[in-house]
Amino acid sequence: MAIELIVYAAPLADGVGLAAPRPALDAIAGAGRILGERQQAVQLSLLAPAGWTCGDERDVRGFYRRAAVIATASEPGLEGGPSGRWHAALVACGWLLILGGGGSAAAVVGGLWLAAGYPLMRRRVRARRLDAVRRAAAGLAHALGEAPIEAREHAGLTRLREIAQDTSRPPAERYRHASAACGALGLGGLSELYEALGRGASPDIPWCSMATVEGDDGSVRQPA
Amino acid sequence: MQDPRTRAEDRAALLGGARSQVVTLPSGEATIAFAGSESPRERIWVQIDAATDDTAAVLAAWAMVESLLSDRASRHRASVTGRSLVAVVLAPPPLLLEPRGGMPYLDGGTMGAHVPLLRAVRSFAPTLVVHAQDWTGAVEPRPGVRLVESFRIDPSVHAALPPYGHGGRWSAQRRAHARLVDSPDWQWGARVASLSRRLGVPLHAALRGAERERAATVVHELAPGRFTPVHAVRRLGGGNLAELALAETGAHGVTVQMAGGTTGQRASHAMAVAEAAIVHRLNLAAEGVSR
Repeated sequence: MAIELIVYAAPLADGVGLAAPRPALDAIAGAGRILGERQQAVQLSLLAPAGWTCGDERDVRGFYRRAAVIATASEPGLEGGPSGRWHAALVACGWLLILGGGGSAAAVVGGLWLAAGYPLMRRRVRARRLDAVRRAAAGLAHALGEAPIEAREHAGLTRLREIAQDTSRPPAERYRHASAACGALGLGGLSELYEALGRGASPDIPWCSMATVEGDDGSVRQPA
Repeated sequence: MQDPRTRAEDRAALLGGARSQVVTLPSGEATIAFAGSESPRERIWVQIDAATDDTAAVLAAWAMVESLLSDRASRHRASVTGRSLVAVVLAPPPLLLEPRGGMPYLDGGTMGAHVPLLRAVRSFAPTLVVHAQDWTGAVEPRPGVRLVESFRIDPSVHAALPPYGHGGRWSAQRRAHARLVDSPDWQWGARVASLSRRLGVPLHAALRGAERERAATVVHELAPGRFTPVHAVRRLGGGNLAELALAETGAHGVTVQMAGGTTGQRASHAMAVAEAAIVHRLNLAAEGVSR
């Protein structure tokens, strides 16, 4: 059974953009953890409005790669715990307990833990987590290069296209309307995209515009 | 500068009859200005993006175009335009970026990697990409500049690199680091960093403590202020614009990440690193060109 990784071809005021909302990022990160452990088939699914085709597959695959980097880099587990000077202070406390414990067995055991046991365990745990993150990235890299891409129509996105490209309203208002409609259309994850675009901001999720190059052949022009 | 109509008129005046290409982005139109030889030895892509206020980015990009197209006496222009084709992206005002956390080492193409621009990069087929990112206003400023380098590394060497430093004595990490330091691409980056420092760019000092551990997830610290993505992330190929270009066209790249300082300083830093990158790519410093 293939792991399905979904991203969205979200309608914009002047075309379509690719977006990977937080649930999609979580799915990519989760797939990375599985693929880091064992090989499994992967299916890249692009939910799109009716009649939309993705064109150059390299653009879509490149977007998946970008989303995978962000999903991998934001994996939890490598943050937290004392570090730097705080960590050095803990180790120093451990040595003070060993040297100045006054023969108390509890103080010596506590000191040994702080001076030697804790740093060793911390180093091993972090190395293991780092290794897991890197294995996940490696698993995704292999899968994203080979996996088939399938575009699937989504009725909610077709409706969002009508809203986003309704020229009777200014773009910011269209995006706000689209953001409000996302939940009811079964596309709650995209609400963040449209809400940010409505404010004139760039969404804090992986996204990119697919608007076409002026002159479809990428032609070069002389300015007037 | 913030009025799109004024900006478009100024841009047309700046470019004059130069070759250009327009691509449509969500925040407006970007113009790519081309300067140099039509049969170049190097094809150099220069792009400067900003997270919030793009004044420094615009100043730097326009200054670069002006320096390549003007008739003023210039030390390196004849050599650069004679041997290379330089594409400078004059970006539209950005959509405001609001990243969570600090300045990411790898932004995943958040800045400047919209599909129309990537298609333009693909069709330009650069051999060198210089991408400056001005994160001021979007993240907690840590004054200074850092360079994230994108270049081909032998996979076995890359996988064995230490997260920072030289690696332990007699270790595989130490051997991998030594092999990397011997490579011309690493040395190019070292020369760029050195010249940038001489031109006044305050590259970050070596990482310490929690910041060093956080960075180790995604990048190797090659030297103070110099980083490259870890092997697994390199294989993903989507770390930033330069990584995307490396994966698609094999271009050597350097991403200049800036935050803090004044507008003029940031523009100056972006120009200084771009100049250092181009000068060393074309080996102009060694030639002692004087024009």
